[in-house]
Amino acid sequence: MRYHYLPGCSLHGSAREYADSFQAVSSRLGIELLELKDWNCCGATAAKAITDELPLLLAARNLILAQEPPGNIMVPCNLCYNNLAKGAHLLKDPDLKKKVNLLLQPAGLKLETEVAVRHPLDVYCLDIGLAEVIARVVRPLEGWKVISYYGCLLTRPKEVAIPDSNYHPQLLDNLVRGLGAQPLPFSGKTTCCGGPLLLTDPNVAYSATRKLLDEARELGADCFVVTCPMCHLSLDGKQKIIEKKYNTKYDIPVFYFTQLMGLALGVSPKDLGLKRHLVSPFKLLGRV
Amino acid sequence: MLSVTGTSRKLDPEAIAMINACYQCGRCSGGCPVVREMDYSPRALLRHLQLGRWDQVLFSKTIWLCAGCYACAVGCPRGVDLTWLMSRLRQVAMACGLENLPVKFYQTFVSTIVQDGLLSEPIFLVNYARVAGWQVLAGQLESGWEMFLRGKIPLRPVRLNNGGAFRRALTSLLQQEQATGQPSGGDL
Repeated sequence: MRYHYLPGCSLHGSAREYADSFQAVSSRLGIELLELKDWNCCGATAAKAITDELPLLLAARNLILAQEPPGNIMVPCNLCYNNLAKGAHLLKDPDLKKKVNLLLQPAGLKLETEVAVRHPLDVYCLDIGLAEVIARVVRPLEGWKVISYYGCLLTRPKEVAIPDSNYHPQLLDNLVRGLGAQPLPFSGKTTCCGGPLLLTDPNVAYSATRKLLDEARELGADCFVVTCPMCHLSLDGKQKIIEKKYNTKYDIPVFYFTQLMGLALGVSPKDLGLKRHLVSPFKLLGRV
Repeated sequence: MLSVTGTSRKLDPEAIAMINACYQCGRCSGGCPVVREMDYSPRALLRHLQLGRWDQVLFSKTIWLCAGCYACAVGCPRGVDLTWLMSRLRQVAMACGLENLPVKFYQTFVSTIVQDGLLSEPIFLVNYARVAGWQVLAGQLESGWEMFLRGKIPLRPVRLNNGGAFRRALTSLLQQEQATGQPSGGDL
C-alpha cells in the first residue's frame, strides 16, 4: 500500500522520534511512504488568525502536490492533519475551489482531483486492519496500564474527525488492547492539552496539561500514548516544568502510539527514538 | 514583518447568524479546557457579541486563550462554530490594530512561512523573540536545552525549493486582505 506522507514542520525537529517510529512501523506493516516533495507549512494556528483564505491556500498547495498517484496523503501531526483535512473538505465546494485555483494560477498550481487526507492511526486500524496489526504482535505489552490520549484535533470537528466518537473514541484504546496492554478509562481522552498556547500563554497551556497528568496519576497509569507532536511536547516536554510549577511529581512517560506499536511488533527500541523523550520511558521497557 | 491596518468591525452574515442563534445554554463553557483562565467564558463572550459590546469582546483575554479544540463547536446544540468565531474575532482585533503577544506570535509565524514556505522551529523562535522581546524564550530554555541535547532542534534553515511564485501568491492575498479590510456585513 502506498501513501504520500506529509511530515510537517515538527516531525523533522521536535517530534523526530514520531517520524522515526512512524517510518519503522509503516515499513513493518508493508506501507510504502512517499514524502511529499517540497511540501509547505500547514499554517498551524497562526494562518487562520490572519485570514480565512491563507490556510486554504497553504492546504491547497499540499493537496495539489498529493494529487499524483496514489492520490492520498498520510499526516501524522494532528494539527497538520486537521488543517489539511479541513482544507480538503472546504475545497470540495466548486466555487471555493475555482477561487483558490485562480489565486494559485500565477504559481502554476491547480487543484483538480480529490485527495484522501488520512491520519496513521486511522490507516493502520482501518486500511491495514486491527486484526492484521494484532497478528504481527510478537512482544505483547502485558500489564502495561496505558492512557489512550487522542487529543482534540484528531476527533473534532466532525468533517475532519477519524471515524469515531468526537468525545469518547475507542480506536486507540482498541489498538492498545490489541497490543496486549490495558487501556484505562480516562475522562480526558479528547480534552485539549493546551499545546497551541505553549508559546503565547504557557501558563494557561500548563493549566490544561496538568489536568490530564493529574487524572493519569490518580488512575495509576504506567504511561500515556499520544497521536500528536504538540500533545507529546506538552505532556512529555513540559512535564518537569509542570511538576516544578505545581510542586508535584508525575514521572509518567509519554509514548507516541507508533512507538508502542513498534515495541509490540518487535522493532528495536533504538529505532523508535525512545532516548529522545524528556521523561524516561525505560523503566517500562524491562517489562516487554 | 507584516503590519495589519484597518478599522472595520463588521462581521460576515454567517457569523452574525451564528451569534444570533446562541441561546446561552453554556455547554460551550462547560467543555472548554481553559475556561477558568479566561475573563469571559465562551458563553459570556457570545452574550457580549449579541449585545454589540465590541470593547469587551476585542479587549478580552478570551479570544486569545482559545486553544482551538472544537469542544464547544461540536457540542453546541445551535450549530454555533464558536472555534471559527474566535479566529474571526482575532482577525477583526488585528485589523483594528490591536497588538499583544499572541498578535506578534501569529504575525511573525505567518511572515516566516510566507517567506520560506516552511518553519524551522528554532529560527522561528529567534524571529519571534526579536519582535516580542527575549523574555518569551525564558520559559522555553529549560525544555529547549533538553530537546537540543536529544537531537530534536535542527539548526538548518529550511526553504521551499519551488516557492517563489507561491510566495508571491500568498503575499498578494495578504495585501488584498489588508486593502479591503474585513468582509462586509451588517453591524450587530
